[in-house]
Amino acid sequence: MNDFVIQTNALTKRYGHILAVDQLSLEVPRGRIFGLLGPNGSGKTTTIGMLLGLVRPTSGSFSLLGSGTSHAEALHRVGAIVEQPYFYPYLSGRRNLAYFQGISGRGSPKELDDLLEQVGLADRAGDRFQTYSLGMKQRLGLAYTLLGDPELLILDEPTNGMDPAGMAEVRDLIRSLGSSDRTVLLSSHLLNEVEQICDSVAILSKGKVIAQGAVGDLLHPQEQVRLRTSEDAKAVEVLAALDWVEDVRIEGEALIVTAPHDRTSELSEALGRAGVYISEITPLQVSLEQYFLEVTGDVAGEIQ
Amino acid sequence: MIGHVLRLTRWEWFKLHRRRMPWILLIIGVAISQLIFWSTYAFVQSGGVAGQSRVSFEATDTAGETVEIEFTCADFADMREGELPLDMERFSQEEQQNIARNLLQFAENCESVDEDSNDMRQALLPPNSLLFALASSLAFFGVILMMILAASTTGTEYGWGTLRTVLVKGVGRWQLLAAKTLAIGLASVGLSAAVLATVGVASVIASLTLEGGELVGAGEWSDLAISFGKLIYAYLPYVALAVLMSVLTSSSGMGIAIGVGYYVIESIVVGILANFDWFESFSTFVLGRASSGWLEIGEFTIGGGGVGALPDPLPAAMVMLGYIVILGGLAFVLFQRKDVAGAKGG
Repeated sequence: MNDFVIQTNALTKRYGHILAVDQLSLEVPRGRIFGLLGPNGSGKTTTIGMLLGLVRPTSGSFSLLGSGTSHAEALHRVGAIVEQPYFYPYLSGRRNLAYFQGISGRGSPKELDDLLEQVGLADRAGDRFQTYSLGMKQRLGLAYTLLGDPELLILDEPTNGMDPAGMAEVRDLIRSLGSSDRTVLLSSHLLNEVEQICDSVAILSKGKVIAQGAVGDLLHPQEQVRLRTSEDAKAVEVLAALDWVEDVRIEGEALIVTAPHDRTSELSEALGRAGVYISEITPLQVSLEQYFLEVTGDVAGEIQ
Repeated sequence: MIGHVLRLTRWEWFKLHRRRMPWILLIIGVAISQLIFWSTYAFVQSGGVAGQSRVSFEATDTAGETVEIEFTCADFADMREGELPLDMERFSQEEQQNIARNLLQFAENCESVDEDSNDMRQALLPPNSLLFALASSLAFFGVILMMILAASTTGTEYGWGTLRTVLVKGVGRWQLLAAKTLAIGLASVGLSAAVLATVGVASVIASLTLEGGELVGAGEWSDLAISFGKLIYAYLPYVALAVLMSVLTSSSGMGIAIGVGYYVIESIVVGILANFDWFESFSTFVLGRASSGWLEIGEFTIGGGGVGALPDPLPAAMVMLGYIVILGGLAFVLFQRKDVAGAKGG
């Protein structure tokens, strides 16, 4: 079995002179919750559109759920919602789901009941979709993606437009969905959402992947400690001599040391041997947001 | 593969018959056909063609006074029985000859008026009433209704953004469009049959009040069946046009506007171009003329078909097939290749 459910190779989409996706190479490992993070216009939705057959790539290739199956067959094992959940406004939530279950040729009425219950829409299932709030539409979208118990879920901005309580609920649901063997590809421009939910992440900017890996791995090199010492200049000299300290700089009245958190006691010991006393030591956790700002530069302002 | 398309068709029908739009189109179709039927009924009951056909002239009597003489065909029928409702003795010999000459001329007209009157009466009794409705309501207005149905069924998927949601299920693009076309075809048959059924009911009601009292008039039921089949075939190129325009513009509104716009403009352009001799040589290839030639229903035509001699049914059918293949083929190719965006709201 292939370890990757999605692999893209130099996938490119051009709209006239606009390059929406540029030579994108991405690998989404099986059984993980994978985040696709980037500001608006970074190419996330276009990439998902190509994977789902909605958008024709200009060049490049990709495989969905392994190369042994046709794209149409693979789509039967995928549950996806792109941008927003679009359903028939004049049909009820239940009838919308019944329709999509019917065209895919799999499932039972009981599955519909269970899914509506799971997403908390059982009471409003008979109401027309056009009467639903945005949050309810998102929930119906999640129920739709789960039709047929798919191996891979592709969720594009699934909490878009939800209130904080709804967002927390949906994030819990996504985490629970990704706890089995199922793979979830979550596209979002919300850093904390990706940070809270995902195991791995690819960061997109201007149609390119600028970083890809486990969320922990991406943050690890950025571990920092803030120190207040009796003699900053000497402390810098001592710490710079340690080969596992990546960087030392003075910021105001403190030192910012880039070093693994689990070696903080060794920092203290080295400074003590040199006669430098520490009055304060604080581990700094660099957020994905800070990391993003560093790697994307000017476009990072669009990230929330 | 066929099973897959049929399954999709079933689910297209599931959606389609729950929409308001086909029911509104049905109501419009029924309203138009009933309006035409009962207008015809009122015309016949009020004396019809015979009552409206009259002659009027002046004559001078022997006293030198001018007399206004007016005759209808009904008066003429009495005259044929020897009861002339006019005192001829008051006119001079010469004036009597003038009056007789006028009345003889009028008598010839009244014979054809009698035939027309009978035809009108037959148009109120089945199966002719249904053929009349098929020709007068469905052939002309039905085409417009079917274009609205086709464009709406296809275009709203773009407008609502639901095409994405459907395609993500891996149903296949051409299979989906084939299913939609089949569902539109089924709806066209259903709508047309329902309109004819309501005209049938109206015919039965009308026949109870008509002189003679028969429920079924002259005319062949097989002609009705053939004409109905031909009507559905006549819809196809227009349906293909509406679907193509909806796919091309990703909009039901534009699909309807362009399809119906073409239908109207074609009839105007044909009316203008018919004045030129060179137009005759390729007029067969104009869709409205080909459709009218194919249907062959009396003087009724589709779009701009009614100018000059219409093409024979067989070549007309071939021309229509060409339109169906080209327009339908383009719609399928475009639907297969076009990127699908989110909702466009129209």
